[in-house]
Amino acid sequence: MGGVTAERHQPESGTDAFVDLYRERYEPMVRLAYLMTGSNEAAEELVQEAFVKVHRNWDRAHTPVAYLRTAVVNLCRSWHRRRFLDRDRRARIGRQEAQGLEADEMWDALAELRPRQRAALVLKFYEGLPEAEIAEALGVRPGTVKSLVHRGLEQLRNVVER
Amino acid sequence: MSFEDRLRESMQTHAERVETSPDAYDRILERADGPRRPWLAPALAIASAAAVVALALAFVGGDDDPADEVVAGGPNSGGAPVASMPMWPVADFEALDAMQRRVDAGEERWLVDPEQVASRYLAEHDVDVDKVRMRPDEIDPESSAHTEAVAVGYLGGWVELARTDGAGDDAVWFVVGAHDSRLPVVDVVRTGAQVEVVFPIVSEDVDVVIRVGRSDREWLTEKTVEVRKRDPGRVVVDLDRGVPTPLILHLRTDAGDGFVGLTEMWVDDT
Repeated sequence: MGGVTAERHQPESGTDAFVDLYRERYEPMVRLAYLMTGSNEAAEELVQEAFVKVHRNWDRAHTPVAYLRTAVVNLCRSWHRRRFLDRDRRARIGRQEAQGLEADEMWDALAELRPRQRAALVLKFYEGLPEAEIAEALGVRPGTVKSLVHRGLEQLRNVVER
Repeated sequence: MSFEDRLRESMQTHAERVETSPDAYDRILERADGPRRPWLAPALAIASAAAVVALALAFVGGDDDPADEVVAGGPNSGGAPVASMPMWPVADFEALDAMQRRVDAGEERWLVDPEQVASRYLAEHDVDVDKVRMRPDEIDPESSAHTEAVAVGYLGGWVELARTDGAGDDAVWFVVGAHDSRLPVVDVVRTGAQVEVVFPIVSEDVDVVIRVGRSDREWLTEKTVEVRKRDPGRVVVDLDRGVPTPLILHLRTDAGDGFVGLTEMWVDDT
């Protein structure tokens, strides 16, 4: 994890808890955001923005980890919206980030999913969250999560196993 | 190895290669303590919901009970559409780039996220846009992404960013019958009215939550519809009591890459 210089800056509210949250969740959240965006740089930027939201709303964030996760998911989805204009650029990001890695058809196929399907799969198969928590993070009903996961897997299979 | 396990393994492999900045914590606190970035998320939310907005209202006469009264007004009352006004600030990419340059030079304030609106327009719609404007008396330059201070006007009302919990919620309000003198004036839509909402769907497989209320804190009804195809969605909401205007309609979609724009809304209590 990146160095924590919490001794320099202390949030006014929930100081220790916020620092703990950062220590425990920053890097995992960046990984999560990376899986949803395919960009290391964007992932860090978005997770930092999510932490800013948590910091500003600390008193209202009764379950900071869930709040943080929801913020990360929402920000990643917004990031995808912004990238909607330039599909080629989005594709370039994925290709550039993948340079140096071995070919991974699964990863490439994941990048082609709709953001919401991709988020559902990441939350289920990487985070290991139950459907109820995925639904909460995505702001949908549990039944919708089932559908997203089912269709997402189906689309991946169509690409990877064709 | 199962397909799901292969997926897990792929995710794990890529996630483990993520690098993080050593100064991330300081940057978080600097951003939390520093000036907030206006427009970003509100613009996204607005643009995503308002790339194409057309509104039609029809009003009919009411009865003697003021609480149930419908006051017709305006030249288009009685069933004819008031207006159809898609929203789009520029005509093409060239104009978009020019607008971006003016904004970068400080000559013009940014109204909506150009990228987002452009994407919606160019990818999904072939329409002309008349106006996109902000409601300046409610704009707070220091507003963060989760305030309700930003609105986009269109003939028929405004699209506003809803109050949210600060977690990036992209809900929007459609405030119907307010702020525009060209609108029919309706004081109350009587009990038993039906609000029929038609909306285009960019994404399929989404849930759309529609609320109708008299304020953004007092909802009279809420209905969730599942959209499984790209066809335009349609839902009818029955009002079990009178609704004083401005009638507030709240459409929210859970689509990550789509939006719900209000295509038509009919208030019918015949």
